[in-house]
Amino acid sequence: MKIKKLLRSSILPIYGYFFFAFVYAPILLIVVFSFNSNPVNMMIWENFTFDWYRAIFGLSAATTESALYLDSTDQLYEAVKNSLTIALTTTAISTVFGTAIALAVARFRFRLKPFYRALMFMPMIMPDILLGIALLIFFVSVGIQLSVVTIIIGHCTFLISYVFIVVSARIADMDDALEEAAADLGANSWVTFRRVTFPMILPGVIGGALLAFIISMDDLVITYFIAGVDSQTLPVFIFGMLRRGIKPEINAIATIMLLFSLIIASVGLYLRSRK
Amino acid sequence: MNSILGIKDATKRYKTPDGGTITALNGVSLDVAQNEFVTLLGPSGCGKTTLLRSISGFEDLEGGSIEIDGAAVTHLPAHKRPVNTVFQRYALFPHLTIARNVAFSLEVAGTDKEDTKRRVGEMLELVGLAGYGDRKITQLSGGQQQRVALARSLVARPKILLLDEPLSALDKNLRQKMQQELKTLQEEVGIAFVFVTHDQEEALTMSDRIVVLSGGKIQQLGAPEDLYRRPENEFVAGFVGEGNLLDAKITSVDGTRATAVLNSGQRTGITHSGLAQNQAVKLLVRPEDVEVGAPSNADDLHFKGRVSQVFFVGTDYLVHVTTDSGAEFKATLRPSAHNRTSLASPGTEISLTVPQSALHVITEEKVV
Ligand SMILES: Nc1ncnc2c1ncn2[C@@H]1O[C@H](COP(=O)(O)OP(=O)(O)OP(=O)(O)O)[C@@H](O)[C@H]1O
Ligand SMILES: [Mg+2]
Repeated sequence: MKIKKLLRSSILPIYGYFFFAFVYAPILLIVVFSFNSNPVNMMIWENFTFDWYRAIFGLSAATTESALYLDSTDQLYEAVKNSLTIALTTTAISTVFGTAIALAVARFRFRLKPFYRALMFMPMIMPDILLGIALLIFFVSVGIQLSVVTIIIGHCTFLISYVFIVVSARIADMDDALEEAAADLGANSWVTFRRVTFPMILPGVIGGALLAFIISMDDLVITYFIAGVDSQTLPVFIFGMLRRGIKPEINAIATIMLLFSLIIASVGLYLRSRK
Repeated sequence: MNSILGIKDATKRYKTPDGGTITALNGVSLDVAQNEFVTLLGPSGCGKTTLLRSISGFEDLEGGSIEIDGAAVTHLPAHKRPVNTVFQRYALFPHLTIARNVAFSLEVAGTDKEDTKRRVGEMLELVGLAGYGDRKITQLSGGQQQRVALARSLVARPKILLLDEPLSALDKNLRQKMQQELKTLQEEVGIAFVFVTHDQEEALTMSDRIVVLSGGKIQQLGAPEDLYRRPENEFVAGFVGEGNLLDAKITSVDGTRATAVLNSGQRTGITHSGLAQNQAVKLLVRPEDVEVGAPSNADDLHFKGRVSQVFFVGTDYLVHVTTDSGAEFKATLRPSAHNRTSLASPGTEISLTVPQSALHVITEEKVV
């Protein structure tokens, strides 16, 4: 009895704090480092500075110590632009297709349906590196030049299945009787979809789209294989920077990405809570 | 009779996963008049929902035909049929307000805004939810959701309203209240209601006519009193109300008069046409027709036995008696205002009389 009480009153909370510290401390450190002016050892706090942010936006000249080459601000912008183009296009395509497939699998009767459903799960559990190699070999053997387009195609192959899974869960939660009720009240199948089915699954569709966007923005492994020389994405660019040592500018880039992800996640959570 | 719904020989089979088939509807024919309250009553799995869904257009019949207001609708899709349904779990649209839920069928039909608003207001008033229009459906109690569902399916003035066990999710008090409200509403709007229930009491209270279904077949179709007093077969006798079924054999027939002999050797005269010598029949005795004491008439039946159980059921005592010949017998006894003590207690000897006039002859077996 006493042990149980002790457990509940102290050990569990302590475990909880440790858990969160374990998860969030490294991220918090990066944010702190990004404002540290010490260019040599970021573990030692010197002064508060915006220099690294200035550097990545090209507002102050890069030093020889810098992670960035003199002209690499343009490369960084190019990478961000590529990443956004790819993420937005991929999100649009995979949301439309993932939702359509989820609806088809949920609503129509056809042979081999369980098999089809399993096939849709496959890309999610497939190792990234395998998918990357497979896509690379495919593009090369078909003779398609590696570019932003190949990255978009590559991302769509697995993001459609993420959207499919998120939307399917939402459809499974929906009462079948609602669509029948709509039909009963005189709505044909298109009107039923527009007035009932779509509004009901919309939170799932938005959730799937945000997930797809974040994963696409963030993907390194698969993209690394299928990116052409002039189609670097932000993660690929950062990875390249890291190979020249961990420099303070990286902390600044990471912090901006973190902020960006938080905004997207908040929008997602807000939309979900509204149901 | 002005028939609004005509079903002829409706037949529907389902395939089971193991390759067999289930006959959910087996040659069901039914006519419903305008303004009529018809109840489909039967045990679970007897085909009530299937019949209702064939009328609303969600199930395709394999054989037979359905007419609504003289027009054949057998193969018309659900959204084109002039009938609306109140679903068991209401199926209200959670993303719409109450007013938009009720307005759904009008909006879909392209009714103009002013007209829609007025009719939705009237409908909400009719079901006692005036002023609730802007609320979300999650902010309503079960009974209120029920009323929104009713308003939503009545606002477009369907020719028939179908209701699939709409009261089964409500607690007993609310259910009784809604039973009365539904009945009043039906009389007010003057639309034919086809109501599904497996609760015989509910069916008896609300209906103009009851269709008793079992195994996809109509067992009997008639007014509540007919079903209760004059069940045509053993199934109906057992399903509608409590009853005692006594085995008997016809010993002599003289026109519509006949003499029956019970297992216990007692004889009684009965009136029933079409009986034959040596035919085995059942005699139905409702528990409330049983009296305590010795018979005064030679044709009355007399049973002696021992009380095995007594249930107090509100106004009456339901008494289970084991007769001397070993049969189980049920009687409901009502205490008088002068004597509120229980009329019988378990273990006591009791003498029961069944007046001859209380006997109802059943010649048909259970039809499955
Ligand atoms: N979609 C279906 N596929 C296969 N069999 C079905 C299907 N729908 C109903 N059945 C079967 O048809 C028979 C009649 O079903 P129905 O739903 O009409 O019964 P019910 O009278 O409404 O029962 P309950 O009171 O339990 O709702 C049952 O044996 C049921 O198992
Ligand atoms: Mg049913």
